[in-house]
Amino acid sequence: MIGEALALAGSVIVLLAAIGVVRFTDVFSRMHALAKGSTLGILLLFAGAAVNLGDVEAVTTVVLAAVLHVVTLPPGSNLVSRAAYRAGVAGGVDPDGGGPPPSGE
Amino acid sequence: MTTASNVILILAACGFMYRALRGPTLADRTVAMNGILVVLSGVIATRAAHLHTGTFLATLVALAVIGPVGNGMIARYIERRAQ
Repeated sequence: MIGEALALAGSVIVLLAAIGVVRFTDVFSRMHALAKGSTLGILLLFAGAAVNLGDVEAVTTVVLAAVLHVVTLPPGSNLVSRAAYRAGVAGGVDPDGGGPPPSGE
Repeated sequence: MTTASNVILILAACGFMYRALRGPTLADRTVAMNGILVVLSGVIATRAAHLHTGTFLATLVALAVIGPVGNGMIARYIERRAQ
């Protein structure tokens, strides 16, 4: 029961992230909605699965998957958003045409 | 309750798929594909919990590892293409 409630809360948060991805206007806002929302949602979903399964082997696998998601999902979004910013596909976020920063770093 | 969370996750997947098909830039499509990956992991976790079997759980680890690798490759491609 607790596990199913956690999974339901996690799927609602993933749905909120999807609504953000659909409704926001530029790629950085969409990435913002996805990175935070889906990380919290996937943690809640995995916590629900771990509570429901209860078995030690399954719980360790789920915890490993959760740790990997938390470690890899925000840096992946960071990579894509930095590439999009440098490539200048801001999509209306900078109407003055500021362009990407000088690439001398 | 598992059915309810699966239905909600499928709605979220429909939103991500809309963005993946519609997205104006490649970065938008990459964001949407990340979201679809998250939905896929969530559905696998809920189904495994529903069926009380841990057989599919290794898939979650594999998805968590290979998803950001594709992210990094697409990011490099976007950056390289702009130069």
